[in-house]
Amino acid sequence: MSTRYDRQLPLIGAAGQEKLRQAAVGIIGCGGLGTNVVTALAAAGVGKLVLVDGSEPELSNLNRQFVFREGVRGNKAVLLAEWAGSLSPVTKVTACPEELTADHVPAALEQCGILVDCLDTIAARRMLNRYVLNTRRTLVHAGVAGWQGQVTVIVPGRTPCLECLFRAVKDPAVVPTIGAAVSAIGALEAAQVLMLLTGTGQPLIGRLLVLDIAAGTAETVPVTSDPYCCACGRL
Amino acid sequence: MKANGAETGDPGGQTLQAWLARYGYDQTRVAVERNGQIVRRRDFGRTVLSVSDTLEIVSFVGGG
Repeated sequence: MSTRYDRQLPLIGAAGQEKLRQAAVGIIGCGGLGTNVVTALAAAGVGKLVLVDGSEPELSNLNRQFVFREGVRGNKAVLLAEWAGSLSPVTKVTACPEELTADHVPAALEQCGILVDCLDTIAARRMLNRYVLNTRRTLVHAGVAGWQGQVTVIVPGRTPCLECLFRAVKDPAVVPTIGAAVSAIGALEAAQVLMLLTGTGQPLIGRLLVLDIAAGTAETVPVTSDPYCCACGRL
Repeated sequence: MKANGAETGDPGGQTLQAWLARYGYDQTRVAVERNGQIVRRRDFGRTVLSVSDTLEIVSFVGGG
């Protein structure tokens, strides 16, 4: 008798599949990266997903946030939770229609062993980075702009934090994005989560993958902590 | 000197700041490792490159 996971069991094994079913993953941001990550994790059979986003879909989102539909209003986390729930019978999805701020973290995130950075600004990521450092949580990070993106795994005390990597980088006024590139980076980000949960492959812990789709290049470079980092320098 | 795995020749005593500008990098969006050590952005202008250096230059993007 076939199951919906038959084609991934050779990759992660029955034990890995059970680890996915027992896992709780927090997705911070339900835009371009978030919709792709949540879709992949739900389809793979992750047991619990906590989705955090305080915004509603806008028309300019629809070139890359394929779950949302023109004219359908509602909170992104709630709409995405409905989508993910329809994909996977084993996934319990909790929607937190609120923003993560310096003063407020949704309580549902506390159960999540891995957090996934699907935010769309560096400023918001700096706040998430502080929360990750304070709670010593593993964070899968990705960022995308134009045809380029990067992915890495942050383990507090073991790898550079986001502040080490970004430092003085600031958000541009407008970030150009196209769905194909966002989906590619989102898929890589979801794969990191699945590998971490199942003990498969070599997740990008302490390494940064930079994908330039326009140039047709992918490069993985080691990253080191900044000993003077204002966020993690004392860890 | 090597940058991102490619031979780039003798930097000729340029600072990292000058070298990055010459190669068109947006210095507000890159992190640079020189011989395995992160170079702080404030030090770009006083870091003199040598032919034996190895650089890893990563441009960060923040959309999602």
